[in-house]
Amino acid sequence: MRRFLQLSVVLFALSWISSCDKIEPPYIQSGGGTGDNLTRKVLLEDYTGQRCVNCPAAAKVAHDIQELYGPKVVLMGIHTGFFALPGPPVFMLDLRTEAGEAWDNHFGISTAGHPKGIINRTSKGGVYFLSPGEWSTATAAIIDDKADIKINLLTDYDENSRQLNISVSSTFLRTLGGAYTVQVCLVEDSLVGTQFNNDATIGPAVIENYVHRHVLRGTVNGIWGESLTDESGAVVGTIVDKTYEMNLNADWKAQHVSVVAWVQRASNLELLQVEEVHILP
Amino acid sequence: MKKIVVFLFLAAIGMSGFAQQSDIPSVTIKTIKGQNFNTSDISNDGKPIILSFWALWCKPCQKELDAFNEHYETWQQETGVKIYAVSIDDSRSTSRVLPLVNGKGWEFEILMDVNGDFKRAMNVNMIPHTFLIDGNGKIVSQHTSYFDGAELELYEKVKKIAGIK
Amino acid sequence: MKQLYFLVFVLVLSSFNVFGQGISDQSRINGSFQIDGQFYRPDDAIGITDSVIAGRKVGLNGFGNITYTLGSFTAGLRYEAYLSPISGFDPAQEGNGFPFMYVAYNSELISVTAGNFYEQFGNGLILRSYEEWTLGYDNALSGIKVVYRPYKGISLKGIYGSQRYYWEKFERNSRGIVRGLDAEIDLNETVNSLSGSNLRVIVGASAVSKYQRDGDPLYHLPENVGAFAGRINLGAGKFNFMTEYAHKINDPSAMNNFIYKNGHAMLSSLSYSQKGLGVVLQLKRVDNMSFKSDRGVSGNVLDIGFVPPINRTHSYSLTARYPYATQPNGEMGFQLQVNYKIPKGSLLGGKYGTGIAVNFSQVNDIERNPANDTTPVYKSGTMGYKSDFIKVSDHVFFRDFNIELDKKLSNSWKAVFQYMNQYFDIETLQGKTNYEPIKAHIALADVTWRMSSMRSLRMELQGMWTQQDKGNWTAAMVEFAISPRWFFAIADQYNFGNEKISLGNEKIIKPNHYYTGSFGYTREATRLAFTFGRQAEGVICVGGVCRQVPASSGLSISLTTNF
Repeated sequence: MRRFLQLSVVLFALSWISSCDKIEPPYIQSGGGTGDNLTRKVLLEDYTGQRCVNCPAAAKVAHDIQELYGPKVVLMGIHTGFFALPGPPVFMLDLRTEAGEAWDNHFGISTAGHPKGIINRTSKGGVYFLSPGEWSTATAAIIDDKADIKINLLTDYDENSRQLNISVSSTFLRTLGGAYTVQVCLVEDSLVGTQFNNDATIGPAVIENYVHRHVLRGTVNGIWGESLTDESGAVVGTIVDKTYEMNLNADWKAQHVSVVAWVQRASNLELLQVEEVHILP
Repeated sequence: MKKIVVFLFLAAIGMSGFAQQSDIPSVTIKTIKGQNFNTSDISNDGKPIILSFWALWCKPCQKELDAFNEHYETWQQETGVKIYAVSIDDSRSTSRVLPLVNGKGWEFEILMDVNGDFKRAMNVNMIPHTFLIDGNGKIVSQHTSYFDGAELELYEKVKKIAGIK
Repeated sequence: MKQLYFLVFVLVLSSFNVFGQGISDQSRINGSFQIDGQFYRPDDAIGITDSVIAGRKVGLNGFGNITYTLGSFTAGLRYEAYLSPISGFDPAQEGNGFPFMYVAYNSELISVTAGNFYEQFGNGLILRSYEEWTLGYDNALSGIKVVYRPYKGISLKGIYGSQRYYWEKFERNSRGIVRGLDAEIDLNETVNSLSGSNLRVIVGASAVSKYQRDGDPLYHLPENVGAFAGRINLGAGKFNFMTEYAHKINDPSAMNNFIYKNGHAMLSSLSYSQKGLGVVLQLKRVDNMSFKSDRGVSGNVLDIGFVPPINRTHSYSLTARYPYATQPNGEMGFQLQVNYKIPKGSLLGGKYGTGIAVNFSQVNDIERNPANDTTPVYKSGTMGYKSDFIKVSDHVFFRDFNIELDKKLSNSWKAVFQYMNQYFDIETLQGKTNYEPIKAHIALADVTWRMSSMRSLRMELQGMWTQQDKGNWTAAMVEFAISPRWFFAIADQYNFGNEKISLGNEKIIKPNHYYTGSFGYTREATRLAFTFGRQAEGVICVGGVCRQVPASSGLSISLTTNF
């Protein structure tokens, strides 16, 4: 009897320890969110660089996540640090921005090494950045959260004068305490340049005509945005409007330019809502 | 979890025990043939023991053991000292230990501490680290690092505990 | 403030020394601590400007251990502080606290450990938790471990726990849970009729499984991933044979680009040795064998298994300049080593005999073919690829041929000479792009002059000749030691002859001296050493794990002791 007991304990332990989940194809899931503005949208900041060999694979992960969730995910490629240094005649583009460098420094991206991503500027134990392998799970974990803020983002662009007017209207969907800021950025898509790469499914080690997607080109209202409310916060229904006027940089292709705007908590920078609008339809 | 461990730790310190302790902790490691070996079995019939931690990648360690080996026969005749050489090589190089030991003609007892368990239990932070242990299992002296000549000073101490002038 | 805590802790530890002897003769307290500190200064010549230092002028890594033993019970604590981590360590190390605490009960029949522990199954292919201070590597398990020895020669182990990830606390689903079983039988001990046999047989088997929740929207991920290994160790006379084979089921992760292929690893060695001669041949194959308790991470963290590299670990600065690191995604390699001692009195052996060691190793990539006609190799969310077990790719990662002579010239002179020829695929092994593989010749002499019984002078001269990466190097070192306590050394590494420009990296490296002066004092187990000067950029590897060390300049202090 005792021997039988011992044996069954061992067998039980064995079966538990060796439990495996053999997954059968298809391995890839499909179907994403609804694009409903009442749930929160997610901003994925992809800190990247043209000299960073692991970055094309990371950009593909970001793209896969956007494919899955559609417009519920807003992507921004932020070129920073050593890996983004221009170096003619190979690296002709300088995609670094003042804001990107400041954020990189603040979040400790370059110290930890590219590629790194930040999702809605949420942090765990004071660490904001995540490795590409963690992005999709982190996105899924928050994408169905209810939105506390609704952003109505409108742009008006005149192709002749290249004047761009932006209006950001933020509605508080519930009463919130604390200070909030609004950040408005300009993003240019499909910039072509040389990129180092080590993912053979994407291309060779040196990709000469690599398409850089969703590149942060600059901010409209400073590096850390501008104040939306003071420390007392705002009651439900409060609407704060902000408008901006500017001339679009002559080197940028208007058909590829979009405006990204978000509202973040001033204390920890966490995003409450984000929107993206192309300046040309 | 953390609190429980701290509590048990402090409780254990608070208690006083009666078991006779040698300075050599009981840790299961391997012999060079791959058999399990409990380090509390390190003994030499009441005669002195030299216990030396080394590795294949450590040049000074091998110099020290080479120096021991040169004198080992004489030392054994005079004092009956026994040398244990504990390799802390991990699985990348364990299979090269025996050929090296034979290639060098070392006559010591070779033990394999592949995951550093004995090293940690003996508080060895750097190698070479050599212990001199008396017949009762007490650590008489220890030394980290090796330079030429250190074996002579060590042997003076061996003679002292073996009662030879 | 943190520095103050650390100081207080060290003082408390030191007082245990006195206190420990007072408690009781039957119980025992012992421990150790080590402090490594670095003070940095700007040094424009080697590219260290004020902006590189960025205000971080001091780095400090320290730890202290205390172990309390009472009969069959042991309890231990480990304190660590990185304030801030010294240059080259992961910034995530920053912080201090007690990452390692345990209580354990030990007897002939059973050992139980609760808290943090280290463990290795077999060669560690599917389970190895360990710690390597010099690399800042620690994947200690936190949970429970039981070792049961029901009968002579039989040992059974069971473990359950989560792994250490720097200072990040384990929370439910924050990372995986690891559980494992291992059994080992020494047949010569267990089976009475074999006890006198010339053939020694030890067999072992293990199973490890990790659990991590699947919260990923892109893929259907396995929440339980199992790995299995079997091993055998045979000894007969002067021959010894060891082999271990491991198999892992689908484990898509950031390390393998989320492919669903099974993984496996095989490690074998055959050796022959007798007095004065040792020969060993090792073979290895690794295919998709990265096994971590968090599928999202990459880098040297949260490894459950350990695939050892099998090439010689070099001890001199230039022979160790380009060290090999295991490629867990796939590699196939072998090593052959011969140690021979030319006897005393022979023509070549001379008066004292001559030691000779020859070593050759080569590691290639494995061959990968598309899993089917429509999917490219390594496409995520597919099987990834197919690989024939015996097929090697033409792609050479690493090759090392070296020969070493070890000669005692007279009673006061000893010398070591070494030649090494190396091939090193720096793109694969260090993740650089557009660098040619390094082909290098390295030669060195290490001469010791024993001036008197306790005084010695050691001189090292090394040269590395290569057209690639940073080009040629020479290194010279003189070390004066008064045994067993004092040493003084000066050294210089000189990097010259470099005009190479890699694509997109137009920084021309000027010839540079990396000089250092150091001295140290050792007494019993206490060692204090100071080094002042420049540290060249490089890689430090211990076991299979490597750490990039950036160039630095300044003063380093290291203090270690135990009690």
